[in-house]
Amino acid sequence: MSTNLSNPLTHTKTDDLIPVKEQDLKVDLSTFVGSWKNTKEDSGQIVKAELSSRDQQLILQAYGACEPDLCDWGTTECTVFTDAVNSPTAIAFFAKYEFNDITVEISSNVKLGVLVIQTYTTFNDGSGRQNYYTREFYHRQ
Amino acid sequence: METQISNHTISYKHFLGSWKNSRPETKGIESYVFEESDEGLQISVRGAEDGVIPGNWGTQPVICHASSPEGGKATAFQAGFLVNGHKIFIAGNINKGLIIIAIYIEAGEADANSFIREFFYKS
Repeated sequence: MSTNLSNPLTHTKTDDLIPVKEQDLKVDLSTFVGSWKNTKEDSGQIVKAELSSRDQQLILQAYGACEPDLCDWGTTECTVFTDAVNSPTAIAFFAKYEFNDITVEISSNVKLGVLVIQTYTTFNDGSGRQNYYTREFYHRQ
Repeated sequence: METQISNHTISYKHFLGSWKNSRPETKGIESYVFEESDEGLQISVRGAEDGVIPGNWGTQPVICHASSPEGGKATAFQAGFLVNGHKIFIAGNINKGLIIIAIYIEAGEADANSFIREFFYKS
């Protein structure tokens, strides 16, 4: 880790740095905001994802495949990533849901108008179920 | 709703219907429809209005591919078009309900050949 007099920001590599005047950059969340539907009709994962913004914060509400109705996972705040340290364009996010015995961590990005969601599901209930990973695709509704 | 090659068949029922580009600002294909005809599967393509080749590309037969020589469910396809002097080859595959299409456009004398890869969902 390093700092210097001309740019006092802590950094691990030069791409971490931005000019001091750009430190209040607003991130454009429009890439994500909206309602997204899984392209796989028989998905057993997240069937629908609703993304909204509130005070520059991206909020995810996920709906899991359940019978007879979808499981509403509620809302969670997302950590957003842009494509460069001084870029305003959001291209990816992380989110996390913690249920009683199950944790679902989510990483997501948009490519050519498709929302790609990766899930990392961890079981904490001693059931013997393996942690598992999925990757599915979503289109705007 | 299947293509027979030798003793093995390829089913394509899951392809049938209308598919829409996930990217509204596309320069390639805006949408297409898979339908069954007496000769098998066929595809009708509409190029993006602001795209490289806008408008109706017409309807062409589709060659389906399964993931093994034993046949089964179609996982990929190919088709060819000739539109306004442009020779176009498309090759698609399906992954978790998303069709990914690679479009190869032979432009003729004036322009360079071009390649576009896009995603489509069932609409």
